[in-house]
Amino acid sequence: MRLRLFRAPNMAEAMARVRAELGDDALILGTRPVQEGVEITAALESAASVAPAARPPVVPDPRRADLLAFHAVPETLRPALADGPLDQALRRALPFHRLALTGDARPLLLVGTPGAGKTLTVARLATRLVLAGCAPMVITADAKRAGATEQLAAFTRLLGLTLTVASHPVTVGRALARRPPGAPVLIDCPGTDAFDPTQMEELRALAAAADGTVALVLPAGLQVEEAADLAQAHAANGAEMLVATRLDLARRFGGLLAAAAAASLPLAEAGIGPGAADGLVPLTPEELARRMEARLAPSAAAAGDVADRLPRPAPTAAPRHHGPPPRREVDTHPTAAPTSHPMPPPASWQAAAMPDPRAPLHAGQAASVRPRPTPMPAPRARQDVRHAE
Amino acid sequence: MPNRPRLIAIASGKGGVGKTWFAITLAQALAARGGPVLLFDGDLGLANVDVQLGLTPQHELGSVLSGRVSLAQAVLRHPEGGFDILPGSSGSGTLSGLDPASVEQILSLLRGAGAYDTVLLDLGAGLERGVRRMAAAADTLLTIATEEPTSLTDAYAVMKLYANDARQGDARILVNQATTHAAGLRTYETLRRACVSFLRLDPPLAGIVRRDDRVRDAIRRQSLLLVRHPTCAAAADVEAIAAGLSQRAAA
Ligand SMILES: Nc1ncnc2c1ncn2[C@@H]1O[C@H](COP(=O)(O)OP(=O)(O)O)[C@@H](O)[C@H]1O
Ligand SMILES: [Mg+2]
Repeated sequence: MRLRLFRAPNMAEAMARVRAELGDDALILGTRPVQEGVEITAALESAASVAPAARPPVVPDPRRADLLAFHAVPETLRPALADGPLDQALRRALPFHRLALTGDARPLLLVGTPGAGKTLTVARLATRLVLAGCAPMVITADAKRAGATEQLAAFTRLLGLTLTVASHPVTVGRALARRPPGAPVLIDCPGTDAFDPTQMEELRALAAAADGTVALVLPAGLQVEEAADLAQAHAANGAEMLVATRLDLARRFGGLLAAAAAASLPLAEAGIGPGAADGLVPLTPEELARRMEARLAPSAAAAGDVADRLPRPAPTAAPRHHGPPPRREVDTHPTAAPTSHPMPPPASWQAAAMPDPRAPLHAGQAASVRPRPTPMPAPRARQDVRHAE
Repeated sequence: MPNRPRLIAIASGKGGVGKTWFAITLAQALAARGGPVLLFDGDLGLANVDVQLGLTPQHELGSVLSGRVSLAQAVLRHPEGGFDILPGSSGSGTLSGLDPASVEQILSLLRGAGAYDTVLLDLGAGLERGVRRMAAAADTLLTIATEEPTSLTDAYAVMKLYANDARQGDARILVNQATTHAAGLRTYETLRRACVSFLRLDPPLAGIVRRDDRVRDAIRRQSLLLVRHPTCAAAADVEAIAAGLSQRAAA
């Protein structure tokens, strides 16, 4: 704004001077009598617009710094996660992948160190597929470890699936030749030492024979460098994504973040509780952010952990069945059964813990996974376990 | 719910119009009405609140921002004034030279100063980024003008930025060093007309403070006007403005 004062003996003269110097657009802001006559304050405003407001910059949140420090997030990742909503920052900083287990997808091989949670992940993915009305083909390539087959068989049995045992590339290939049309394939691989070239060679051969996608099962809570090394070793041997396990038990997620970042392996799924049907969820930035933040909010964390352990509500819709219906040993309509004591809701079997691996189950014991008032169905005609080799 | 103080920023664009003196005097007047007051010296580097009051800060603002010193440790209590002062001495230059993140940090520090009912921000001269941001972020902006044309254009420039950044906000005009009450009103009307015509903004009048030699006397002695000359014209004017501000706060 240009502001000028004009003095003249009278108003008319003062106004003439205003117009002469500022033009017709001049605005009279004020007039007042002065000794010489009159004073006019006039102004002209240029059209030039104001520079855009300095937007409040994103300020690094000190609590975020605490959170990242608590989770031992690697220094290299911290700037990217320093501000903004954590889920959005995670989405920008790390790769995420939505696992699609469709009938025409390549077989999914679950690999990882012994005890990482591969078998449990296979069981949970199988459960998810069965509940969605899409019976998968489940193969275990872990023939060496004592009880490995039985452990998974106990689960496939509950789901009415046949477990195929095939641990050699040739037998895996042969088994897959009999893949039912439209059936997704899950392959439980033996636990491997990622730094043993022989074991990794065997794993590669298995994946090649299956023409499959390799997912590394990685427990949360590993030390940062350890997790990053492991992920990089597996990425170098063909792993394409990460399935994180033990998110409910681990306190610090820096290892997980480091693994995904160092190996550029997208985060796909997360084990979040003991349940077979609800213990595995797609690992989204939102899910990860929520769990990271819950660890630093004492009350919220406690509540979150309780929620983790509570059975989730049962799916409202009954499982849809496409193609050949899966055989089920578990009665999902308990109201139809005579009850001598309160029936657990359907959700409770979905949340049932994995059979104890130290006590391999036999066919007749499968029902002991949950209290069950009804007698077991008659012996089935179909095989529980089929050896392909 | 923790108390969130009311942030009142004092800006003028032009220097030497009496921002710092007015901020100090308003701080005392508001404190006298009850309710703890913090005066933040936003004229960083120039440290003019310290100088006008003859205080020696123990801590730098930078130490507070980095978390080494708490706000409570860094503030100076004015013994007679009954209000606290957060010195701006920082060695980091003026507010205009401060990086945006530090400006936000200062703002959240002041917003979180729950021990106070009112936080006054003496924004110093100029229209730089930091001044502009703090003016827009305050709950109430008092733009000080005198009848000098240069002060009017600078005050208008402050309002222009404010109209752009915080159109819905509470910005008021305060006339200082007015020869008479009537002359002060004329100065307000002049500035108001420019705001209405050019900015479509109609700022209310916060008050008029008359020119008073006692002001310079108090400043020269590094003492408070309300202590040294409690009954002078300028003192009465500031007290009336404090009353008006408190009223709006209660409403
Ligand atoms: N109401 C007033 N009456 C007389 N002098 C005043 C008045 N207000 C301010 N002054 C004078 O203006 C000078 C500058 O004041 P100051 O508060 O330092 O201005 P700013 O902070 O805007 O630069 C003071 O030293 C004082 O002498
Ligand atoms: Mg000043």
